[in-house]
Amino acid sequence: MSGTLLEFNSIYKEYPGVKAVNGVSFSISKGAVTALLGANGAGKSTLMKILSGAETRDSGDIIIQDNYLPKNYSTLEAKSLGIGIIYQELSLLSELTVAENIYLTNEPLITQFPKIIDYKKMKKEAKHQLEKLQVYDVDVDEKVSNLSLPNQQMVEIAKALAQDCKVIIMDEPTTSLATDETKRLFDVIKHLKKQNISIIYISHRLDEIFEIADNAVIMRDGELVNKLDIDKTSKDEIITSMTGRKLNRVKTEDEISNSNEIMFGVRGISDRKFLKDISFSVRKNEILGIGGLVGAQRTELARLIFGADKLEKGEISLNGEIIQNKTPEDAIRNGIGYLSENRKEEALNLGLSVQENIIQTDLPKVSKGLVVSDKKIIETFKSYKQKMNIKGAGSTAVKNLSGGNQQKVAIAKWLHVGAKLLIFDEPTRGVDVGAKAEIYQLVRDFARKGNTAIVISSEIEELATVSDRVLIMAKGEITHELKGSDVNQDTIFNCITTKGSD
Amino acid sequence: MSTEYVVSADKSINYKRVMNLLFGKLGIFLGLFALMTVFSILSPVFLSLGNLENILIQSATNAIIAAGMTFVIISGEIDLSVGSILALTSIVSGEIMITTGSVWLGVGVALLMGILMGVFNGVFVAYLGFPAFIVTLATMWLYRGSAYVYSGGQAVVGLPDGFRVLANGKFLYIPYIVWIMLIIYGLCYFVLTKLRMGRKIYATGDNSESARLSGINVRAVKMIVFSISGCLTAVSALILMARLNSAQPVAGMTFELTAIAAAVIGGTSLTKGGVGSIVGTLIGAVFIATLQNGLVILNVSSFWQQLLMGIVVLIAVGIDKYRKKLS
Ligand SMILES: Nc1ncnc2c1ncn2[C@@H]1O[C@H](COP(=O)(O)OP(=O)(O)OP(=O)(O)O)[C@@H](O)[C@H]1O
Ligand SMILES: [Mg+2]
Repeated sequence: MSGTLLEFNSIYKEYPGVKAVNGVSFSISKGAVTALLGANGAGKSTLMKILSGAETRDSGDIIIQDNYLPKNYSTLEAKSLGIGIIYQELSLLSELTVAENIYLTNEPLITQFPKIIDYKKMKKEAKHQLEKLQVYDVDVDEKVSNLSLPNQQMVEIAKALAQDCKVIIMDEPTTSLATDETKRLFDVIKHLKKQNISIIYISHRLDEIFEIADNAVIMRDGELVNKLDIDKTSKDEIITSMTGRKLNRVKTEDEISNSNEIMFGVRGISDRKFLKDISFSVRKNEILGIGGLVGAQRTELARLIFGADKLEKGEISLNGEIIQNKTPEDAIRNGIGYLSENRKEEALNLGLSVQENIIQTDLPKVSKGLVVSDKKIIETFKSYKQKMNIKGAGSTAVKNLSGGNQQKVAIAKWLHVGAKLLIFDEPTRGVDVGAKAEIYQLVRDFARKGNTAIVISSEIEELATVSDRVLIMAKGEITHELKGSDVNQDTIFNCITTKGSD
Repeated sequence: MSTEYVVSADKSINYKRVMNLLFGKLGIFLGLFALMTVFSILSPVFLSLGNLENILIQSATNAIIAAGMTFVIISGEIDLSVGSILALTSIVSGEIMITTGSVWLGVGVALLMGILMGVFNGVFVAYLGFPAFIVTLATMWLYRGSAYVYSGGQAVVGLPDGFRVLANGKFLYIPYIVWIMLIIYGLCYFVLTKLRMGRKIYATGDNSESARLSGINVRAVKMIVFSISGCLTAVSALILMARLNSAQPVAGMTFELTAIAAAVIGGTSLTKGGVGSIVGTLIGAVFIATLQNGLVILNVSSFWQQLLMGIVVLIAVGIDKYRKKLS
């Protein structure tokens, strides 16, 4: 670590009604990993978008290696200055191939004029970039839209690595990655540090911060509230400065549901290709966790139950009755809801307002006959805003909320339906520590009111915290069932990594 | 230092708000107002009651089609076949009125045909997943061709006298045609902003996959918007028939483009579904009719009229872009 690379000096940025970044100053050392921390909506992404040229600041200076950056610069110019970014929301072009995405605007050329792209070289180098991340199963000729979410994230990371960067911003790079992939990313980060490249790392997973970061800067409500040395701080100290209060460790123990009544079950369900004869059941008041590696087909299972994909064979029953879910509409009518893991493309209508999104799953609830009641819509929004601490007005477009607040809206949407079974696919993706505990509590409250919940998660800690019982899946089959005291992080980890049942 | 900053920030927010209003919701009203001011200065007859009535009557055919078009565009699709639907419905219903002598039968058949042609478009888009642009481009020729074949290229003349009442009749000093237009817009406004169906249309247009996963039957939504478009086009066909006192297979040529223009001038987004307002479309249609009417009064040649229309559409889209940048 030698000297300062980059300095922020009194940066301000205001959106209508929100001071997103309010006078932030700090500097970044060469070859260091600086963690940028703060609760949902603190202004982290906004500050980073300013640095990467995606947003313009209202005032303040950015100084990179003694050069003052102009007030207005494009993302392309930022790139040429050596600023790379991995956005919180994937920014890949889904109709282009993996290789084309990785080298977008940066393509290797055969001749300079006219600019003819050297596809052969591009593919080779793209493959090489992915191999650096130990990704071997992604075809560089594949269209990005055909990749799984984690693989898309790896491509996004490879894209940032493919350019010559002095500093790489990583805005929640691991939210859709599993433990194993996160580890590979960290190996790469350590390698980058050795090359004297600086990293700005945003994450709500504090364990990651302690593993990878050298120092941390903490934002709250747009302001910089603390600068810490990772070696000399603790999780509690970080949480306290993030939230401005001590977080009571919500120990989520409560009496495990004693009900023996089976509420929901599937028998021998299959789709055409991935899932083979899955059977399991969930009791009333119970929360069932489902764990597994990427490719375990957990999301596919959820979509099948919800009627989003076609059921080839098998039975689904709720409250002792066999139900048919040909479409999501049927499923909702039958009392089943599904929170998609893919917030941007499947879980939300980004262009519509927050309140519009929340009520969408159950319009009759806010209507008199066929006419929707604005009053009821506003009431509904207010109750969730308060319950879930959503930062933002009801009439703002969801795309203008911070990532974590978007996720809260996506959850509120499903709590709004009077469902009997809710399937949460990665429910806390991108939400801060405080909100995480609140969401667990909401899931628990929902289940304990005579319903059932299924939680699909790649975070082992989450599975252990929230579930009464855990199923482990691998390659489209259920391999383990963990009950009672077996529902702990070590056992879950072992079952996920050792494939096949014992 | 910091207080200074706050003051300037508040000012800039106010400025932004004002600009937002000027270029946003109010913008189209202001545009229409400015246009009318210019014309009334240039020509004394422009502001006469008779001429204002004329403008409304002239805008009705386009406005009614554009209302349906707005539904389709908000849902994320497009309907290029409206001009041809207009031609085919008027030919067939005109024939029926003449042969049976029953105006009401003709009207019923026209509405039914409009809906069915919309359903035909809808089936390809909603159930077979064809792009609406291609489907309605194809049916534009299909329906137009049918109108030519059915009529042998001849205009249908000699409509029953009773039917002419539609063009000439008034209620409370206001022509039937204007009443029909206003009632249709009232209904459309109600559907889009108050009914559950409206929410579903916006949601489908914004992101149809996430709408589907929220339990919205997006196929039904698409069928409905295309049927609405077809049905309103049939209404427009009847009005045009009554005004011209004939039905013609060449009628309605390029009407789809004028309807799209009205929606776009009114702030509906062609590139991104889920954005648009029905009131904007009405003003957009009146704006277009005003422009055409004023230019005719001022004796400007129709060549110039087209040129000016082009400029107006570009300005409207430019304002829309500017507004998005502001917010
Ligand atoms: N385009 C925008 N228009 C209006 N407000 C915005 C816009 N982008 C962000 N905001 C607001 O600015 C604030 C800061 O948002 P930002 O995305 O920077 O938060 P964040 O710290 O990254 O949060 P998270 O951890 O949830 O990702 C939020 O209140 C958000 O609603
Ligand atoms: Mg963020």
